[in-house]
Amino acid sequence: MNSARFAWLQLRREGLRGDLLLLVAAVAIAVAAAAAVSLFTDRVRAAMAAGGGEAIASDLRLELRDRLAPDRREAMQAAGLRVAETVEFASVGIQPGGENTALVSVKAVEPAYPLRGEVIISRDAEDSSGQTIGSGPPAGAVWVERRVLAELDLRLGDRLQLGESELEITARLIAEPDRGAGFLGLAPRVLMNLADVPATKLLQPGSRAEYNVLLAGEPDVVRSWRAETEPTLGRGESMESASEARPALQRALDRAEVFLDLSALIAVILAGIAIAMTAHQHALRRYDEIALIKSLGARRGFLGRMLAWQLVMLGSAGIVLGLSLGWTAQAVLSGIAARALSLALPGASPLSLWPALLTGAVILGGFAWPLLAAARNAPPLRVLQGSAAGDPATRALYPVAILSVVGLVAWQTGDLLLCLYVLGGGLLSAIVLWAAARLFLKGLGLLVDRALVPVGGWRQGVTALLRRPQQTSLLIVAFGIGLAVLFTLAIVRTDILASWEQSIDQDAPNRFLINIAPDQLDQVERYLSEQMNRSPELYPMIRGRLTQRNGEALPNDKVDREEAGELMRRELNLSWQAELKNDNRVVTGQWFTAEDHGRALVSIDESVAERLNVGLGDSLGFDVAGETFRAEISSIRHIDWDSLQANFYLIFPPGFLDDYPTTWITSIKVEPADEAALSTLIRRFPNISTLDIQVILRQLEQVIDRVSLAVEFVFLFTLMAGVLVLLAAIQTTRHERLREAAVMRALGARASLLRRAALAEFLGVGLLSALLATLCAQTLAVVLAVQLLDLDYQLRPLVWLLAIGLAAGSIATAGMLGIRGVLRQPALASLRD
Amino acid sequence: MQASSEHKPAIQALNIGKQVSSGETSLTILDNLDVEVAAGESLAIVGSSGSGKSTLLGLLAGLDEVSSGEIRLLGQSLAGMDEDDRAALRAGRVGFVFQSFQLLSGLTAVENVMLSLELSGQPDARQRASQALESVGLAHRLTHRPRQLSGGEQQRVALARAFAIRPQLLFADEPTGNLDDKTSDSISDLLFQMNRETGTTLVMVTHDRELAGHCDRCLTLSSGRLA
Ligand SMILES: Nc1ncnc2c1ncn2[C@@H]1O[C@H](COP(=O)(O)OP(=O)(O)OP(=O)(O)O)[C@@H](O)[C@H]1O
Ligand SMILES: [Mg+2]
Repeated sequence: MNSARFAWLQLRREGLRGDLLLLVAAVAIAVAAAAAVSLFTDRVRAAMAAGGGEAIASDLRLELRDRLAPDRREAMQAAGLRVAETVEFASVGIQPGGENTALVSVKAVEPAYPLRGEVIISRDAEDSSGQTIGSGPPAGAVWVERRVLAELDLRLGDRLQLGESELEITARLIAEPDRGAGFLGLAPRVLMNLADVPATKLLQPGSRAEYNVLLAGEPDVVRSWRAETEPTLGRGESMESASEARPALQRALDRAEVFLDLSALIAVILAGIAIAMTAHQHALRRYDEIALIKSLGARRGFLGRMLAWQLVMLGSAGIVLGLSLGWTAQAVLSGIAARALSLALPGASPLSLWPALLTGAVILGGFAWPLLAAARNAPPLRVLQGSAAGDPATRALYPVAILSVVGLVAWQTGDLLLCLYVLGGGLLSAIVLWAAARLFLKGLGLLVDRALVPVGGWRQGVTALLRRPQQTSLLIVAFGIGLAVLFTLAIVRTDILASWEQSIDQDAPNRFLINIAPDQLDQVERYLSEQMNRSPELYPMIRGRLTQRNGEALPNDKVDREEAGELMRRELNLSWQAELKNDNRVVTGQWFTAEDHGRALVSIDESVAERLNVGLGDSLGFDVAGETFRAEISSIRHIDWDSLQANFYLIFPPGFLDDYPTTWITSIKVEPADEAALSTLIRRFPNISTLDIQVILRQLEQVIDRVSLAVEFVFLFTLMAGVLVLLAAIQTTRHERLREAAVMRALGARASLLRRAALAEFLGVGLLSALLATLCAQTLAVVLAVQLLDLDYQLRPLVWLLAIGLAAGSIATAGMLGIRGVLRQPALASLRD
Repeated sequence: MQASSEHKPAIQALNIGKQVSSGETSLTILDNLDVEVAAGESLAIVGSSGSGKSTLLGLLAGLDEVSSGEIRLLGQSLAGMDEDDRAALRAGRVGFVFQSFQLLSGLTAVENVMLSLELSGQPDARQRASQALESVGLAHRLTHRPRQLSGGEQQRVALARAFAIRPQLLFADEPTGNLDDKTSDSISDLLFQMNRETGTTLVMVTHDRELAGHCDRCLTLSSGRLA
């Protein structure tokens, strides 16, 4: 008979019994989790990236040397992109009919601006929270920063003269989304309509201006358009995506992906454990049957094919179920996400279901198949001698299961380091748990031997644990690992997210004070400390250009942005510092010693080293205010951009830049109550400007919110997978328990004794695995937080006590529920089975 | 096939021995046995518990490998055959009846009988299985599962399963060992009746002297040797 037909007949005749049902459910959960990740998180990722687009008010910014040619614009629009052009230039703002003038930084935008994010303006002079608006100023109007009003002695509704035009100031500009990293030292902003620019006659051929084209569209469209177009860019033209523009946001997105991958992965591994347990149970049940079929003349090959077919049949059912579950769930969740976060998610494609399908196949092949494959080796002699004839070796399981987990982790995360951590952690936990379980049983055995455990139900329960040490230990390892990953995930979800939020929120400054003159230093510091109770560090800042690398001139219009990029084109902020800031860390080389002061040395950020392709000992040439000099790289630093403090790519030792024009910069956290004091400071020193970086903070917060939601969603599947492990564990011992209970009842044990015995047993397993899981999870979380996510992590013993109690309680409860039928079943029925 | 094998012995065992070793100690279960069973003959193997009867039966049926000596089953030497080859040799030609019935608990009575028919690739499995159950007096219990049947009824299902494929050889290990006297009488009557009808060669292990007396020949085993 055909093996497929035989497999189908056997399945159909036996029906879906408990263990097979669990197998299907476990496959379904794993596939659903994977599907949810590849559907939902892909969409959230795209949406988050779009959120990140606020950093450059678009998905992609194209820098040009002149206005955008009409045919290029048409090509962009034809490719499905939205386009908005901006032009930035320095100019002088004039008070019409008055004598006040001020250097301003003009940005002229089209009405479609901003393509991502919002402009914040205020139509009243004092209100500092403002209103968000999705477009730039209309023709004839300008929005200006407070400083423009102060320096020109103007009010809202007044007119501002720019070149040959006069434009009406209709609102005060509080924030614009793409006020990029080059903001330091800028003159105050005037935002105007691009259509008004020609009339001002300010832009003549050859005037210095920055021409940008903002682009937005579906992620795929943007990506493929960029890939196509970037190689064809002309000299001096370059492209930049949101993530490249905002390192802090990029890091947030990166972490988000790690969280999501981790949660999904853990759900899949948990389901894998459940699958292995049920497959083991299934295989065990099959040994006698296989021996019988062999005695009737079936070969191993036939049996192997039959078992494979059965796995394929059950697996397909689970996979189809999981795919539909994942699809439905992500659709529902996307709806919620869209409403809660006003986050328009891009559509999901059925095509992105294939990773989930593959996941299903991999866990079936990795966790279930080796056990079933071993079952076909059951010796036919079992028909005569029963289990005395021996069980097939199931050791084959471990390498295959481990390999498939490695494959899954590596593939899902694409991150070898993470893969190693997850695996190492898992393996180490399993070993530790096994050893601890054996030790625990030894100890229990001693207690029982010394008659320290009272006779009765409790003692029965304890001896039940001792009666099957192998199985008890396996249960403890399985529960322990299951709980450990659940706990780890819970930590990741709450604790790490919280400490991440804290690391951004609490001390993060929200205001920069820039352009402080050297002779104002003392007064400003005194004012801050006396009036505002702040004593921030102040840093010197010198504007300069990078011109040479190891004595060779750097081309100042790099086409290839990977390398020197805009470091070459823009003026840079140079600084000198004696002490290493605490959000900086030296990666290679040495921070300046006292002897280094005054020497031609420079410490650079690691991204600069990478982009310029330079290292320790290389020299860089600079041009500051027309004077040139060289300095040798003496250290490379890692900067923690999350601190949101003023940071510098290039730092020199004190005493070296003394002769160059210097201004000072600092950052402080301003509470609403401090606004008045700050205004007074600005009025007293009009040259100082403040810069609100609330926008950046808000973006980070939003990303964190979205991440939490996505992680919580995937966490749901992880929880379900955990429950499955529990059920599988109970299922594996169910048969044996039925018999034992029947025998004990036949011997006169009352139901209450059986119940107490079972409770003692489950509580023992539950408590120990929860305790061990906690230890594992804590260690894992600390490693994760410190090594992978660069966060400080704090232990919270009380939460853990609660977790242990809860976990042990649930295991015991679930166990009692699981064997409810066992205790109720009449002894005769169990014995006949 | 039927004709050629009838002239040769169905089973020839020469000098066979079986040792098992667990750790360092080696235990000899069977020692230097010669057994020959002619086609169509019925042979009883008797002996006290632990004397090695089941072990011998397993070896003769090719379920296990000898440690020494040689066995020829249905004219073919088992030497050098692996488990699969021996299974292929059994397929469709060898039936079993066990002390503990060995019915699959998930399948109904008729499905259990169909199993052996399906595995040997015979057509009309359901119809023939029903007939076989009818001939053991269980026509009315076709769709009952093993746990709904008494021990005697289960053993009848096992007999139906064994004879449904019309085997050349039938091995039985204490087929009445788990049954009361009356039931065991009816089972052994049924066994010999079907044996006569099909002309099957029968090798049966039993404690029951009376049952052994129904066989053409009787071997007594004592501590792994022929007595
Ligand atoms: N795999 C094995 N490992 C160790 N000892 C074995 C093994 N198989 C059989 N024996 C031993 O060999 C001896 C013979 O076993 P066997 O099952 O053949 O006895 P038997 O004559 O069938 O007994 P019974 O009448 O009780 O069924 C027994 O002592 C048994 O313990
Ligand atoms: Mg025996």
